[in-house]
Order: sequence, then C-alpha cells, then structure tokens
Amino acid sequence: MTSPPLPDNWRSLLAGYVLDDLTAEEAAQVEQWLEQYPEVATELAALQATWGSLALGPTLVAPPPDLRDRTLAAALSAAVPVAVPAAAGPEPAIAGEILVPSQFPNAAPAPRRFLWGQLGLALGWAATALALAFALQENHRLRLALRQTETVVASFSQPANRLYTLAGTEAEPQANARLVVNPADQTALIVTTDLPPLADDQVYRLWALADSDPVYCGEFNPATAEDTNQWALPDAVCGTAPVQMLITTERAADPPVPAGDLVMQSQS
Amino acid sequence: MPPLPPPDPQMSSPVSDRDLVTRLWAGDTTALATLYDRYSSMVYTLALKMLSNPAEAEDLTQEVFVNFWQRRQYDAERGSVGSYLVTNTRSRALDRLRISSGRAVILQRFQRISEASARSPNPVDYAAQHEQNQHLRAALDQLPTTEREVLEIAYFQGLTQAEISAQLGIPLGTVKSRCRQGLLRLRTLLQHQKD
Repeated sequence: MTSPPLPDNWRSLLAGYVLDDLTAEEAAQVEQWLEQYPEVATELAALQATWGSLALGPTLVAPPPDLRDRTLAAALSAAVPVAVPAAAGPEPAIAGEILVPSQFPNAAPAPRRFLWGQLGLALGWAATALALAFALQENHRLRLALRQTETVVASFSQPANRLYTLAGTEAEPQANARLVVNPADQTALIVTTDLPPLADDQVYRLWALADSDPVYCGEFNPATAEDTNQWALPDAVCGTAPVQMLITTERAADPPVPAGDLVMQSQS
Repeated sequence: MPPLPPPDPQMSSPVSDRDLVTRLWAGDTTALATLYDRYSSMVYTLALKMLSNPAEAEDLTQEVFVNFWQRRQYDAERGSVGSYLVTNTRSRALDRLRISSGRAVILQRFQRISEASARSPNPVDYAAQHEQNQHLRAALDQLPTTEREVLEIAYFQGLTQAEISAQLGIPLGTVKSRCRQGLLRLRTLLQHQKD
C-alpha cells in the first residue's frame, strides 16, 4: 500500500513542530508522517539543527579570564564526593592526575603533570583549597535553600493562592509534593520530595485537568530528590479552580501533549 | 545533513572532543580545562545574550561546566559536545528567566536588550570569531527583519508566540507565520551556503 502524498504545507507544519506551535492534531499528523516518509525525518532534523544554530548568532564574547579558574575550582570541589570511589584511599585524589585550578593548562601549551604522591606539601595546600571551595559552595547552597524556604513560606501564607498536595503514582510511589498556584501573578511553585531528577532531555510536566483535555501548566526538573521549583504559568486555566493537577514524565523536546508516564496526581 | 552544527574545534585539534570526554570521565581533569577553552566563549555568549547580565552569565557558564563534569550525562552517540552545551545552556537560562523573574520581568529584560542593542555597536572582534558564526550571521542578515525579530525573541527569550504577539502588538497568526517562514528561509539559506 502506498502512502498518500504529503500536503503542500508539510514543511510549514514541520517548522511549526520545531517551534512548538501546532495543535495536538497537527502534531499527531506530523508524527505519523515521520514514521511514513524518510524525507520528513530528514527535513525535521535539518530544521531542528537550524533552530539550534541560532545560538551561534551573537558575536562571540570571551568570558572574564578569572572565570576559568573559578569554574575549574568549583568543578574540582564538586567532583570530590563523586570522584572518590569506595576503593580509593583516604586522599581526596582522582585516579591518574589532578591539577589545582591555577595550574590548569592554557589551550596551546601541553598540560603540566602534577603527581600527588611526589608532592605531599602541595597536596596539603590543594586539599585545603578544595575543602575551602567546597565549604563555600555548600554555604552558597544552604543560603539558596534558605531563600527557597522563605519563598515557600511566603507563598503558603497568601490566602488567594491555591494549594495542592500531590502523591506519587505506581511509577514513583514514594514521591510527594506541595504545589502552590498563585492566580494573581500566574505563577506556580512546587516543593517535591523523593522525586528523582531526570536526564537533561527530560522534564516533569504539570497538567491541569478541569472538564476537558489536560492543559499544559509548565515543566520542571528537580536538581535533587528534594527541591523547589517556580515558574510562570503558561495558561490562565492553570490558576482556576477546581482542577486536578497531574504530573507526567516527558521528553523536553516534545510538544506540550501528555504522552509520558503519570508520576504524580493531586489528592481530591 | 544538518546545515550548521555548533562549532567543532576538534577538527583542528590533535585531541578530539570524544577523547577528551573519555579522559575526563576517567578522572583526568586537565581534559575539562581543554573543553572549557574550546567552548566557554560559546556558552558565555549565549548565557549573556539570554540573561543580559554579566554576573548571571558567568554564574551560568560555571554551572554548565561543573554539571557537565559532575553529572556526566553527555552521550557522544547522541551529538557533539558543542550541541550538548548549547542545549544545556539555553535550557538552564530559560529556567532562570522563568523561575527568578516571571513574565513581567522577562518582558523588561527583552526591552532592555532591545534598547541596548539598538544604541550600541557590537564589540566586534572578527579575528576571534568562528567561521560558523559568520555564516549564520550572513544568513540571518538575509532574513526579513520581521522574521528574524520573532525568531530571536522566541529563541533567546523563550517567549511563547502569544507572548511575542502581546509584546510586539501584532496578531498571533502573524507571529506564527513569521516564525515558520523565518525558520524555513534560514534553513534554505544555510543549505545554500553549504552547497
């Protein structure tokens, strides 16, 4: 059986698919074409690459030179708990070689090796620097957590706000969350507990279920199992009541149509 | 064949990005320094364009590279390091705009950026620019201003078409058609550059 010919506007709809401006029916149509016509998949890849290439439009601006050392110091301090396997010795060493930030190589010269075993004194200073950097970062994290907590408390104290308690489904039975919807400024704030972070190409999406199809109400991806996220609501329906709130796992690049697993839902 | 992938400095370098990532995952932190040297300008430029604040752009640049190393979610089978970092930077920048600002402030940011770009010439340093940036800018220059405008707002500010419609005071249907036409036209222009 041969496939029916593509309509004249198929490339326009593909562009709409990349730009995320299609209706659910149009998006479904495009996805059907993707399975039927190889040229549609090729064109979609080209349009997605074109969209992504817009990042290269601005004239390149070099970051401040000191950002390099700061970034590498932060990476090293963050890497300490990750990079020390159970079998490693007591030293905060990473297998092979390690550099203190000021000794990271520039782009052109060959990297200078810095062997921990041969330079105990340097190790001591480096370990101190790492510990200090880690402590500073931890301090920053705690300050951030405090600000988030204050934001949550302020949200709960606003009488006009709508509060939802969400429980995990079979997909994430241990997860729970408190959702605060502020209809005045059209924002949502969610405090999630035991909801695992997703890969970068995935997101949790929030949906309001009134008396029709689910309405897309935004998305988030917690950085840790317990986290707070806040965003602007994309649709006024999300701030109306009463609605049931649902959370699904979706691919970030997908159009705003619920297709993934239902992981949480609000309690009635 | 994608018309314009992000920069791929490995072509002129003795060590490929893939090898650098392998070394980095094995614990060789010098590889992160090399990746930073290759991609920090691209990441910082995108962060600065989207956040319009040098301090926030620096913070985001640091966050992107620290997370690249710490979370180890990059998969070489799914694309280049440049593509991953661009996607990651844009996603995190949009999160910051949404979380910390809300729509009203996003619109204010947009107005500030528009005013700034209108009154000051870019600090151009042609010698340091990547060839691909020049190609893209040449293609963007050939787009009708109305199409380029809506595409750049959608990409860098993350505004929906409805929000762009309200911001520019033009009908939603016009925004949609300009976005689609602009994207298709840009794709064709970039394809012609490659042919």
